[in-house]
Amino acid sequence: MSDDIELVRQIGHGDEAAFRVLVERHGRYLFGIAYALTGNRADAEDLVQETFAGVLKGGFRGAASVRTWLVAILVRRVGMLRRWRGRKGRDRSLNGEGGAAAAKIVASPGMGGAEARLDLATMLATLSPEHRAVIVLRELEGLTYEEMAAVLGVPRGTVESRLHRAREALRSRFKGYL
Amino acid sequence: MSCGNIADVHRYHDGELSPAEREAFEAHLRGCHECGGLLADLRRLSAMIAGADLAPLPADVLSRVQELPQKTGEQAILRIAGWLTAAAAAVLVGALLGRPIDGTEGNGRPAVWQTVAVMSPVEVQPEAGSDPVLVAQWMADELSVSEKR
Repeated sequence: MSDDIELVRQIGHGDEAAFRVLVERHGRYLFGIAYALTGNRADAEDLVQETFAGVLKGGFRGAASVRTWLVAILVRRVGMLRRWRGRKGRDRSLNGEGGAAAAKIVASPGMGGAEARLDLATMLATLSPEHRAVIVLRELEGLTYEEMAAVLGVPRGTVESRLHRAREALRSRFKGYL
Repeated sequence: MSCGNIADVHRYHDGELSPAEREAFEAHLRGCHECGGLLADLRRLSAMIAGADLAPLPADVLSRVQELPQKTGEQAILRIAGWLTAAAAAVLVGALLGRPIDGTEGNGRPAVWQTVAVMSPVEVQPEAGSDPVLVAQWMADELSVSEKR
């Protein structure tokens, strides 16, 4: 089976079968991330569609894995959606369908580290959209501060302060699970 | 936290310190329980996030996304067709606007398109259009016929 980079190359040559394989491989993960970032299923679906539509336009430079590239596109799209709604004055926030109520906590306080299994959307629901983005890019995709700054279009110092605040909020919120 | 090295705890956890900075921070870490406690929490937090469950994908979403290339292709064709239609409409409107309202060429004579439109098929002689001599002959014949009438 082709690796992701080969699939992206084939997609660039119009190979629809390669596109279907890439969607099959990463669609579920991207939807999970999109839902954690927005808290809204309809938005998450739209964002996944837009992310893969971005794949059809090309632009992969091979600096990171294809999955990380996809997540970076997704995170940028979430930012664009938020700004667009802000300009339009639409009050449909990206906190979605009730945030924490939308997902279940499947761990008990006292279970530590890897044993504690929480729903990502639940964990991120209390954070601002900017803080969710840095958590996803750093904790799930392992981007460096510089890479995160490039994806988000903000200075490195901003990335660091957002990351610290986001972690502090999570640490406080889930203290019983740590 | 009262220790002033909080930022370095995060940087250390994220692998963002240079080798020299890392060495210096590890020396600090051995004597600072606050930084040690924060670092332990950050490690557990990272493990929790990495192991967190993701929302399940609705059943039909994948297939809809997989159809994107066809949809994109169809939209591109429709878009090109739309552009061509608009361009053709613009040319037609431009041509009509460029003509006098009474349908003449501005010199009182009927416009060429009107002349062609009222000519009978018999009067249109395609072979005459290709040779100036034949055109002249055809015009002379027509004039003589008109005079006889």
